Amino acid sequence: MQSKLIIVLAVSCLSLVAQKTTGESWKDVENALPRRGATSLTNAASPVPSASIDWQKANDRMTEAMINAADTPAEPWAMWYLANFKFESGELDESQNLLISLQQRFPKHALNTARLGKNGRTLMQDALDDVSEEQSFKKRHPRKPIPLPVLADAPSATIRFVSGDVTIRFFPNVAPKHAERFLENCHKGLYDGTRVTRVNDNTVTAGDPMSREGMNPDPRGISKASDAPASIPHEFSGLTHRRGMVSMLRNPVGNDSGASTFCFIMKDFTALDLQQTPFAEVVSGMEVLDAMTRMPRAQGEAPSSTITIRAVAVNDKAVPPETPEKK
Amino acid sequence: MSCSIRTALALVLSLTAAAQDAPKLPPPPKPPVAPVGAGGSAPFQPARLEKPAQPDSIRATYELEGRTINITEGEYYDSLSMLQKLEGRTGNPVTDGRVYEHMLTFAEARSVGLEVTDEEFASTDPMRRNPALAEQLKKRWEQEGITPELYARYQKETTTVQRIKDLYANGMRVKSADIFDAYARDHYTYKLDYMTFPASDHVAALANPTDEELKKFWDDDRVIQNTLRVPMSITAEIIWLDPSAQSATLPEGALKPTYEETLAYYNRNRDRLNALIPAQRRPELYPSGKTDPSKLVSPFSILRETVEKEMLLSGAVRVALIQAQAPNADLKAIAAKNGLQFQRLDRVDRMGFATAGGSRYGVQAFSALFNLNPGTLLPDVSVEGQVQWIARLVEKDQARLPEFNEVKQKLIAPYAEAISMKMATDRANEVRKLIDDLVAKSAKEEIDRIYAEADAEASREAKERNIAEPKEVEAIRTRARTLRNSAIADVQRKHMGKSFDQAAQMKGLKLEITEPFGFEPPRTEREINNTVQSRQEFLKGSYQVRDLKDAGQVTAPMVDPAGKSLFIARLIERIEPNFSTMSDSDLVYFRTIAERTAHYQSNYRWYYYEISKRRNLVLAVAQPK
Repeated sequence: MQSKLIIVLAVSCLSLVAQKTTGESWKDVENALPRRGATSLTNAASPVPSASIDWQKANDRMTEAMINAADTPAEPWAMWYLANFKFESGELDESQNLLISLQQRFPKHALNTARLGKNGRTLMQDALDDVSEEQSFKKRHPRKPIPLPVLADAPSATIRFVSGDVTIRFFPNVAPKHAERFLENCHKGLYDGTRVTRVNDNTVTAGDPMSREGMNPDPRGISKASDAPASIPHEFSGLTHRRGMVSMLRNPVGNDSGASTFCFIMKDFTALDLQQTPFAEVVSGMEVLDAMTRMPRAQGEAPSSTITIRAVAVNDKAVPPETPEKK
Repeated sequence: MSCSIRTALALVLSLTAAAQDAPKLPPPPKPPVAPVGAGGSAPFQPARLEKPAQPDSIRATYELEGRTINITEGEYYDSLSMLQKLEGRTGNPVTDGRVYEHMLTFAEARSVGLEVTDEEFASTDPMRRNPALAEQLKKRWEQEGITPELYARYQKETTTVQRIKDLYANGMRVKSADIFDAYARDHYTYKLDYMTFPASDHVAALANPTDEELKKFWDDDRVIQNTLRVPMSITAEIIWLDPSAQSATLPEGALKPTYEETLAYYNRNRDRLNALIPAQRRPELYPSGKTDPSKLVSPFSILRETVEKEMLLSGAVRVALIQAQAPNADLKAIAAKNGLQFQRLDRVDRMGFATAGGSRYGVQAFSALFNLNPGTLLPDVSVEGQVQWIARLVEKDQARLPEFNEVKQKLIAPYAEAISMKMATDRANEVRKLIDDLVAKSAKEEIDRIYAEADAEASREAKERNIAEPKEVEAIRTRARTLRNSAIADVQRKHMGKSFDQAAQMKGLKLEITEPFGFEPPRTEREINNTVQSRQEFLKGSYQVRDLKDAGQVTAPMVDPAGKSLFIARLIERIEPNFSTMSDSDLVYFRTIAERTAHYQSNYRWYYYEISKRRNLVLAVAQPK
């Protein structure tokens, strides 16, 4: 009810706001879009996953853009986008109100007249149907929304490579089992003396207990070492494999994670999304990992000289990041 | 009034005069009727930039908002020229398909009011905000033939195109119901009742087969022939050394290598030798800051003794090889003389070779020896891991199929197993046929009615179309019946459940009911026994069960080769999973998959194949292949 009132107030206040030009209004609207249409089919495969978008923030930005776009051709489009974002954030009543308001205020607008939807329908017809279908489904199957990933201040783990230290922090709200397992492995000393086993432009892989024995580790992440822990179920979330993330390698049988071997993501690498579980992020020491990617490599992408993890220190207190720079 | 008449007259006269004065141009070429290129594969060839002789002639047409719109040669040339100058790159030239994609997408975006106006462009043009950059760019553009107007047009058109792409990319609205459908497919709970056909029911009757039966089984069954085939075997003598083994002893009077020689040998074989560092000494290689410097170690200092031993013993293996090459050399004596190990393997097959310690010589060792002529040595010292070895083949036997009498006794158990499984299969097939027959009988009336409707419809159609040719009439009838296949399947399914019960009763088969269970991919390590639990484990992993949708549906006989049984199951009910308790991880997984599909589809709208089909693009000139 309260949010309905806010929308009504926002819409009625539109004319009171200082006018922007149509071009500026469009710019605001475009800047508030969390996704972009792909420039070609080759990069159309992986949109930004819904679970990684802060829809509340997207709603706020689009609301502001809509108010600024009052009485310009950009206004109905901003309303349209806002209605879609409300749908995504689960605010279905607000989404419906916005669509109805758009229908009533701009009856001749292309959204209401052009046959751009499914089976020759208008986009508005499709949207209203989708909203009412979603409303009815959610009434029958209520569930909490997926939480957005939050990087916890503590604990942190400092991985002491022979070439330098890398500190990571965890996302326990979306990958609790992985964070817990990694810390458990650290406390057991499972990673001490293990090696970096694979380096390429996208990833730096380490943590297979088998590598300690000087034998060939399993590239798929299932360690054959006697002290390797059992695999754990995947914990997919809004976290994507962007630079700086730490991801647990996947068990090739089923979708579980291997639970010991992990990799650092050196470049945005969304091909690994839904394949592996990201569970932590590097907060300092990316330069140490960058240096590894520049080292010569032997066959199978193993570094030609041995890079060993001396130890992993777990700090239960919050540590501010030393170098927030990632790029 | 008179004024308006005068104006109208003047207008008519002027139009008539204009029509008389105008030179008679040839009519523009009409596009062919068949849509060349529309919805077909995109013309991927690089487009050739040639100024058209007749810029007004029609190159292609498309449809938008119920109207047919022309693309003239001039318009196409302008767009191609613009795209080539601002997008074309060496190795990635602008294609015909790209030009049409751009023109049609721009037209579609403009038609819904997304076109960037001059005013909008002016207020957001980055060039106006950064004059220094603008100056720099202008100089470069002059060389490339790009005018500020062309740049502005390109910016406006591509921004317009991006707007309509963004419209779809940000309006995907993946619905929970769709996610749930995808999730449910793998997470239904099934409840079944089933009849079992165990092979063990027939084993007792097959306990005493006659010689003829066994002979026929031996002659016909390729599987048993392969199982009992006598494999190839070898007799070989091997001298070997494992320097890392405690038992390896230095030859008497051996001269120790110098420090430099040892270090050089270590450096040449560092990766292999480092693996020999014992696990308990590895932590010494990662000392803390407080370690006494005199206690610091290196991999070489740990391994030095081992390396020295290996160097000396490697020499011994080579000496042994030279000695073994003498005619009738006694390999056992040579091994003893040089402080090496000796092994003789008598008539061993590949498996026997491996289990008798042959695996230490590597997976290729058996084949390498078998390929030798009896009495000959492997030409050089072979190395497998830390083991060095030389070997002589004494004799070898080729694989062969034994005579029936040699294997007769071994055939009795496999015979019972194979034939009992065949009998169980026959029985299951017989019951399934009985179910089908009972269905056919009980559903006959309904099915006949459906076919009668189909036949009547076919007759009407033939009559309306004046078709009397029997073959054509029959084709119409077949088509009409085929169209009702799904209705017939529904009727059969309705009767299947009842027939399943009848068949069980007629054949005296006991029905067992499962607990509700979820599908699990078949497991290889499941415990096989003749218990209810073992049988249900099989059903849990059966893809035939997973495909059951409606209550009453019956499977074909399902074979459990490990459990030596067959099953025919009936679906009692299929229960949907609970969306509310689906894990967040699964929700993200299925949602992201659905989003990827929706995103791809929304972007596919602007791909040549799709947009040319949607806008019914008709090319007047067929593109060169």
